[in-house]
This record gives sequence, C-alpha cells and structure tokens, in this order.
Amino acid sequence: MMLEHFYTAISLIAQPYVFFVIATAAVYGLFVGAIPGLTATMATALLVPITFFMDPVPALAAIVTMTAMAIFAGDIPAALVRIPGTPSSAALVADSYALTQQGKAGFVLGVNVTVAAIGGLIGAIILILLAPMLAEVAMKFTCFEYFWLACIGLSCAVLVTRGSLIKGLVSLLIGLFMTTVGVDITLGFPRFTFGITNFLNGFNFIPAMIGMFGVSEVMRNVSSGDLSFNGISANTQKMFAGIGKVLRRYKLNVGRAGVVGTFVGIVPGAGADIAAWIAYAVSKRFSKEPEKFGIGHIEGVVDAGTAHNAGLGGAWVPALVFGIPGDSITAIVIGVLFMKGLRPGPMIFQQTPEILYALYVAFILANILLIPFGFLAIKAGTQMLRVPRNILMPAILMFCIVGSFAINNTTFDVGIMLCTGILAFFMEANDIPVAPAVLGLVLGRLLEDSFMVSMIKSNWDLTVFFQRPVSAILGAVSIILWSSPFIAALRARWKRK
Amino acid sequence: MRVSNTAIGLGLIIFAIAVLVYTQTFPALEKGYPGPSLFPNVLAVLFIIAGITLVVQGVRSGERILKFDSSGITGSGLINIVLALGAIIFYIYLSEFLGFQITSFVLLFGLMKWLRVSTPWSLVMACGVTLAIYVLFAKILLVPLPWGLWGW
Repeated sequence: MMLEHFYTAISLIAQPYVFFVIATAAVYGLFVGAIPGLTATMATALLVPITFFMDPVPALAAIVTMTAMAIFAGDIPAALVRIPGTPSSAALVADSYALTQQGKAGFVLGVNVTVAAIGGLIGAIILILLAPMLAEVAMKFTCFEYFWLACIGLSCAVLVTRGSLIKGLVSLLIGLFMTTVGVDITLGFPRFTFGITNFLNGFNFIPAMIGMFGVSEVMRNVSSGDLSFNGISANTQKMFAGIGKVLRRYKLNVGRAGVVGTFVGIVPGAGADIAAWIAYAVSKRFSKEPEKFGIGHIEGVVDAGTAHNAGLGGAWVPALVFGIPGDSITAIVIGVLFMKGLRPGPMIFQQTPEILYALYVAFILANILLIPFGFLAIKAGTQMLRVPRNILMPAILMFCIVGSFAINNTTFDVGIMLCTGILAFFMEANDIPVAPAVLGLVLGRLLEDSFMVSMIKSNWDLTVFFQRPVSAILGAVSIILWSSPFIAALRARWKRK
Repeated sequence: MRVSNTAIGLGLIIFAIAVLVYTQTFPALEKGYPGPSLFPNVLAVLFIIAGITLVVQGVRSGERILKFDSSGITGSGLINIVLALGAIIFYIYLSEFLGFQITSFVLLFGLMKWLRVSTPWSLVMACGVTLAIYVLFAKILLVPLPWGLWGW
C-alpha cells in the first residue's frame, strides 16, 4: 500500500512542470537564504501569493525545496562575512568564519552543504515514519483533544521564546486577538469590524504574513546603513576534499544532530534556528574538545548545520498530523491550506494520501538536489552578496504589495499588509518575538471554535474537557505547561534561600 | 524604535480596557451565557495581566517611563522607512487611477533614486522589475492588476 502511494507520488512529481517549479524554487531559496536580512520565513511569505494559484503538489514541493535551500544558504554569508543569512545559521557563525579566516572557506561550506543534505534526509525519514503512526492516534481525537492540542501548541510557542516569557505571551495574545476580528461562530455576530465589510471574514492571512515578514524586513533593511559587501573574496576551490574524513570522524554527531534537530522541530514554535542552537550546545557538551568551540572547530558546524535542516522536516510532523504548525514556515503553509478549505490533520492520511506522499518525495528530492544546487550557490556566493541592497529592497517592497493585492484583488489587503508590517517591526524592535503571534493567528479560530462548540453542546459543563482519557491527559499536560514558569520561579527563589 | 517596558505595559492595559468596554455591546447567548464576547474578554484579561507584569518589571528596573531609543536608526534610516511606508500608501490610493505599470515604475524609480542608485540603473531596474512582476502576476497568474491611465 505504502509503495503504491510512493509510486503515485513519484508520478505526480516527475513532470516537467513540477521539475521547473522545484528548480525555480531552489534558486529562489538559495538566493534569499544567502542574503543577510532576508529569512526563509520571509521567502515563504513572498512565495505564497504565487503558490496560492498552483495545484497542491507543485505548491508544496516548491515550499519544501525553497526552505531546504534557504536554510542551508544562510550558512554561506555566515562563513564568508560572519553574518548569518537566516537566523538558523547564527549558531555556527563564529566557528565557520574562523575557519574561513584560516583559508578553509571551501572546506567549511562543503561540509555545510553535505551535512545539511544529510540532516534534511534524516528529518524527512523521521517525518515519513512518525507521521502515519501519530495520525492513527489522532484519528480518535474529537474537538476536546483538538482544543487541548491547540493549547499545548500555543503554550510551547511561548515557552520556547528566547528572552522574556511575558513578551512571548504578549506576542501570542496579539496573534490570537487578530483572529477575533470577523463573524463569530456562536451567533454570527460581526466583531471588531467597525462596519468594514472586508473584515467580516476576519484578518486576511496572506497579506498579514507578507506584512509581518516581508514589509518589516524591508523596513529593517532600509533603516540600517549601507550593507554592501564589495571586495569580499573567498577561496572555494576543492570544496569536497576532506569531507569524507570529517563525516567518518563525526558520523555520530551527524546522526545525533539529525535526531535532535528533527525532534526540536516537532515542538510547536521551535524551528530550525532553535534546533541549530540546541544541537550546537549538545555537541559542545559531549565533545572531546569543547575548548575549541567558537574559535574555528568543525565539530560544532557539523552539528548545527545538520540540525537546522533536520528541523524543517520535524516541523511538518505536528503540522500534517494535528494541523498544529511546528514553526513559522509551516504556520504560513497551514494558514494558506485553511484558506483553501483544506484542514491538515489525520484525515489527509486517508483522503489525499497522494499529496502526502508527494510531500515526502519532495522532501527527499529537495535534500538530494541540495548538493548540486548548493555547490553552485557556494560558487556564486560572493556574487550573490554583492547584489546591491538599494535595488533589491524597493523590488521586494513592490513584490510584497502586488502579492498582497493578488489574493483578493483589493488594495484593502495592501493596507492590512502595511499595518501588520509596522506592527511586526515595532514588536521586533522591542524584543517581542513574532513567531508566537503567527501561531496564534493560525490557531486562534480553532481554539475558540472548538471551545465554544463544546461548551454549547455540553450546556456549559467545563468537565467535558477532562472526561475522555486522552483529553484528560492532554489537559493535564497543558496545565503543567502553564504552571511550569511559576514552578521554575518558585524553585529559583527557594534555592536562593 | 524601542520604548520602555512600562510604556508597552500601559499601552496593553489601555487597549484591553477599551476591548472590555466595547465588548459590552456584543449580544449574549440565551440564558445569559457569554457568546461572541467571551474569547475577546479572556484575551483582554490576559493582556491586562501581561501589561501589569511589564509595568512592574519596568518600574523595578528603574527605567524611565517615556524612554524612546532609536536603537541605532539614523535620521536618514528613519526617512527611508517613512518613504517605504509612504510608497505603500501611494500604491493603495493611486494604483487604481494610474494603473499598475505607471505606479510601480514611479515608486521603484523614486525609491531607488532616493537610495542613491544611479539614474540609468534606476530607470533600467524600475522598468525591469515592473515588467517582471507584471508578467508573473498579470500574465501567468492572471491577477487583474489595475490598468488605470495606461489602459487608455
């Protein structure tokens, strides 16, 4: 049965049009990832207006390929100019730049692309094995379980926030509040629409994402001084010389980082960037030479480089099985699927297995293609960094505008993009992370609707949320998560005494 | 663009109170059970709790309430931001009248010139990007971009 689905999926992918889409998405991903200041999430937000008009298979293949390429490509400026191309490369920036200064730019980037591909494949394999198993469990879920799952997902998004927990909570509340705009489920009452008909269906998701990740990035980029990287050069000859030796020596690291990265990716709210940081920390903790980390040791680069690409596959596990996004990228994808009337969840494993398997095939293909495409990107690395920002930013801005307009053909959506862009810029400037808001925006309606429907069905008996065994366990997990910051604070105070 | 935690906290509290007052106008379910107002009200209460925590943290750390810190953004950087946002507003209000091609070209050329791209390059890139976006969205994805004056 499984093989049959794989054959169907391969036939869906192996078409000239899909290959063309994948190749274009790959080049786009490599370019965006390699330019510091442009992130993989932004690349997804800008790609969505185009994939919105495509069939599901090429659209998903494009996003999967693009993100795999972008996350790896972030390592290129990390090695060449000591600036991570995307936040996911921040963990390995010190070591890889130090190696570049020793004249080993080609070597470190060769290692980066190889371990990224291996990490991506590990993530894909875990996704393929784990998702169907979890889906079988999820088949038995009702609205009570989904309510708790949404709670757990949102709580995790806040708890994994680096920095102030309270600011993570504020971000989540902003996202959730945005979903209250529009007609409510109980009485069909228009809330916070202020007579504007465009608001009746709620906040338009795609313009909001383009604003939060596209416009805010443009604002940040034009606000800083001139960031051109003229005059950089790096020796990227003999890229794959010595790779075999590194892989043999650190094969355990690669396996461990792949697994760690994938499972961190599964946690809602924790994406490739956190996966890389945790894998780097684990690597240092168990290394025989921890003193060399941070001053040009390849071991940490191997671990972080493997983990960030593995995390991408992990993020799709909760997204596909429960409809709970694992990171901002899958959050955008799920938001778009919602808009198209597709609700990710265990049913897709039965109803549209061909799309699911096509996604698996796309994951494997993208990571295999990462080697040749990545090789070319490394060769073009210094040229890509020379692309003048003062031409790129106006072009991206215009793309954001048209992309927002394209979904509903209204300039009202461009206004939404503008407002959410300013909001996200202000949030980031004040250390309020954007990721929890995005998760809130995707899950808010699910949370409210499942709660209100359950309450009306049960005549406002709150105990129904604990009557089914699985629901009770998930409820207990939620309550433990909510109380964990308080318990941690109390323990810290007790220890001080 | 940084403001103090206290100011953020106060802002959140004021916003939440406004929400709580406004939701009083929402209808309730039969038997007086809360309906459309429940979820916004719960969020508003959480906003107030988060706001109070931020205010307490801010006051404890002894920061000034009206702290405004441009966090490294220079005067010209600020003007760049205002112009980028102005470009979006320009598009919203004038694209229908001018049409996509003219609006896009004017905005791209203007922004590139402002960001100190040379005039010939600005012309070439503004034309090129406008054409590329037009072909991608209007021709391939069949999005009805406004024609405006260009349509005459």
